[in-house]
Amino acid sequence: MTYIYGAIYCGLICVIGQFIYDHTKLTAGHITSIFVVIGTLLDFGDLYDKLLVLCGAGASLPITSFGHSLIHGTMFETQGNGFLGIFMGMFNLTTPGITAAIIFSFIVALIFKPKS
Amino acid sequence: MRTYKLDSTYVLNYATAATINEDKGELRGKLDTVFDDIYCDEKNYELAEQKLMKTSIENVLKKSNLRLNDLELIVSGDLMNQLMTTYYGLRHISIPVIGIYSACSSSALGLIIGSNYAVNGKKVLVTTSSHYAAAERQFRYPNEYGLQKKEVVTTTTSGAGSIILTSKKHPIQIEAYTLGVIQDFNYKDVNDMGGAMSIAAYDTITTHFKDTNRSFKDYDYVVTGDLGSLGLSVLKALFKENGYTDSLDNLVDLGTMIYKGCPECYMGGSGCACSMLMLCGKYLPMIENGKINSLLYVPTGALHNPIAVFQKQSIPSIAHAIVFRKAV
Repeated sequence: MTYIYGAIYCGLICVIGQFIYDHTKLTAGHITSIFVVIGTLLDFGDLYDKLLVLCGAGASLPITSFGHSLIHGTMFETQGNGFLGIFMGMFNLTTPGITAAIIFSFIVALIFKPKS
Repeated sequence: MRTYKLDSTYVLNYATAATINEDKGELRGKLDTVFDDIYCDEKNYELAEQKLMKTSIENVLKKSNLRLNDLELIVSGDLMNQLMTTYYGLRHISIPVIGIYSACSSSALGLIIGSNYAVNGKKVLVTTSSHYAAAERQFRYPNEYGLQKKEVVTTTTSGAGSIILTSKKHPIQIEAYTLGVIQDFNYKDVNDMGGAMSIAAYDTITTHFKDTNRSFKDYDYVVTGDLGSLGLSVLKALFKENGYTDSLDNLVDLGTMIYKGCPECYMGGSGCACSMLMLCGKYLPMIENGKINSLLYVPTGALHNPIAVFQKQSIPSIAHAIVFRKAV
């Protein structure tokens, strides 16, 4: 069942994204930002954690998961450090994702040339 | 009065260079040089555009049996910042160069400026060039980004065309030109510039008709630069709404035609080279061979600046018109 839920959730995100892209003037950058914010908002009532259990990688793969990780890193640090935790913890859980993006794009840029 | 008559300006010769993509549609087999790869055997896209421009100049000189030093002047236009293709591409030659920018209508502005210098037997070369990937990088997004295209976008043509003008009699004459006025009707969609430019085309064509007392039936073809299929339908609607009862069958758009049968080119071609390639590849040979007698050539330019668009400004546009005619 996790597979099916995962496919449905992930597919839904893509459908919404494509719909916004085709019917508004928003760019890809706007749309991913919107999804990050939505992922953060879905943390209310631990909604996103429930989605993660239900859909597995289907929920952890899309960009909404990035917003979810941002809020979790922040909340964790604020428990010990209060307000300052916002600045300290924001990227704690997302570091691997960001670093991987930088390193892999560096390697790919070394090897390939754009074709168009 | 924005229309000026020219007594003795003739097209001595013309030539083109483009890539494999332009060789597929309307211009199949009509281009002088075709590069198999859009890098044109160069390291990057900007150098590729310079190579396209230089190749088209070499082609036209070869065709007309001239050397570079026989030219009085080169008028050149492109889309790159600081006119990179013009100034970097022509930095090693020893004749005067005028670099011009009028977006995709540069070919017309170049011919207008060139025709004013091509007097007393002097020869002036007019060239314009553009490159899909170089323009994409400058005006839209990095090439590596791989952005999904929207349905209404046009595809910048990769290529260059060169025309040599002279005052001695040749089969194709430039009879008159009409200068365009900058138009801005608060169009803000950078993906759909055909709509913005159709207003400029409408203004220039109607002004030309008023100044010369002519209409659509006086020309075999009235061709606009790169409105795309959407922009062309806007233009036709504008004529109908404003009481033009002429048949608009001979009003065609070069951008719509250049990539005929290419689904991934969306609304058609655009860029400095689009109208120039179609002019040199299709219409000038038609005049030369006597298939048509007269042509009103109206390339349109969206004077779009990415920074102004970020600052939420609208897109001004311009169109210049030139009359080509079989010399009698």
